[in-house]
Amino acid sequence: MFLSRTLPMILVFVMGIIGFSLYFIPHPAARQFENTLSQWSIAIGSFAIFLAITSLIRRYINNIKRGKDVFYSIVALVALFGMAGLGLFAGIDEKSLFQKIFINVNVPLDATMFSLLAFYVTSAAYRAFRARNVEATLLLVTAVVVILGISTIGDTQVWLRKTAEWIMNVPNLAQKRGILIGVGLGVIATSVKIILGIERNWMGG
Amino acid sequence: MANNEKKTTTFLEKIGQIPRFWIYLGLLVILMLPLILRIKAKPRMGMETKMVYDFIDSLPPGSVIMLSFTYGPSARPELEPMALAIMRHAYMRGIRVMGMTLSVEGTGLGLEAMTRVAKEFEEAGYPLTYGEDWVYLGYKTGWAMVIRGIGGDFHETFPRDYYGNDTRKMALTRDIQNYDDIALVIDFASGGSPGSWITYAYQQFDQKVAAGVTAVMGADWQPYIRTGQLVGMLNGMKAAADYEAKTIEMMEKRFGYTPKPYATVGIVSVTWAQIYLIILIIIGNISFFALRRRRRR
Repeated sequence: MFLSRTLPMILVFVMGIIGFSLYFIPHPAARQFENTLSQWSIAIGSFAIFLAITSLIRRYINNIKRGKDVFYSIVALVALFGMAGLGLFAGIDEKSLFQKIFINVNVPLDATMFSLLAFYVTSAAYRAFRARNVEATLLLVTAVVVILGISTIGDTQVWLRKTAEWIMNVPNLAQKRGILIGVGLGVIATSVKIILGIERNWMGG
Repeated sequence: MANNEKKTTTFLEKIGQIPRFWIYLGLLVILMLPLILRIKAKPRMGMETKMVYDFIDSLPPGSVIMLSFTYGPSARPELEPMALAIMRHAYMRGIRVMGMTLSVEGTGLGLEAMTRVAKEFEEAGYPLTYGEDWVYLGYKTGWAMVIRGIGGDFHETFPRDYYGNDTRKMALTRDIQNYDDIALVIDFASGGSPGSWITYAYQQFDQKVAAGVTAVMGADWQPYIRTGQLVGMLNGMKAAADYEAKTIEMMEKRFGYTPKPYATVGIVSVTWAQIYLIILIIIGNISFFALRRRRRR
């Protein structure tokens, strides 16, 4: 109980107060200590990669043992160890096989997945973007003006560019600021709750 | 008369039900044509882009700027041309460039972008020296802690570059202690990393920060320009095309060399696709209203 709940809560409280206070103390000693803490955090963050790789390997080995998605699991493991091996033993510079595989395999695959969105968005907009009521009509007109105004069409149609800029800089900016202030207050409230041990979901409920 | 009306209504209903196959095919053709025919746009630089351009243009030769390639392949077509254009501008002004990334996927992309511009300058007859004109630091895990770490001690945060060289010994990096020695940080981001640069680098260390973001994220970061927390912003493919066109023109004038265009071609595809989308929305709405009118009758 002490190790699993009390100690983590004490650590969070102490480090939370220290981290918060250091932000406002300009003394060189405080800055130096803050810098040390930053370097610790970077080192601790590296353990997350180790944890992620371990979890990935266990997951796919279990899949193979159970006979579930065996082919895909083997591909994932071969890709993981293959790329790691290439990077570790054959170099990672711009002419390396590691970089060539990344640029010519990984990048096009990822970009292809993402570019499919353009097709879905076009089809969805055509079927669902309807001026059903006043609000929907306003949204539709605003979207069209902003899309055209900030594109190359706005370069030749100054009124369109100006209208789009006004929409972005006045109503859009106002609502964004409102949301940001709300989010900021929410973050402060949640942080205080975590530091004081009121919010404990981060410990697993 | 009644027959004619019935026929018209049927047609208007039909245009609201174009099969997905034809919509996809239309989009594919529209996207591919400018890329195949290499149709280039001649864009005019927008205000937010010009703010970044002017800031870099005002830096004295020898200054150091830092680029953060915090994006993955999905955002590459929008963000990489921005990074290439900014590097070209910086090198032509005698400004030195450090690259790094806070995203694992950005590691290879950052390396690709930096080496590509170095190769362009070599082909143009103005070779750049690694370690003096440019340095690639690679990926560092920790996000906000890395940003804070640079403000504390640059060499502790990045003791070695991507290739394993000691940053204390390289000409470009040996004199860099913290943000005081970095004139500008530009974060090319497909996520929320500009927020971390603003919170930790700008707010805590008064570091000048600019952002290059995808078009869908542009509205999120606009409030920070008005407050001066960002010196400017490159927003989507349009800004990339604006900056690229300017730097290509500069390189042609100075070296008689034309770098390969990406965004100035891509923006034509994007604009055509946007017009296609708007036309489809209008067609869909015409059909919707026709159908609604008939139902009311």
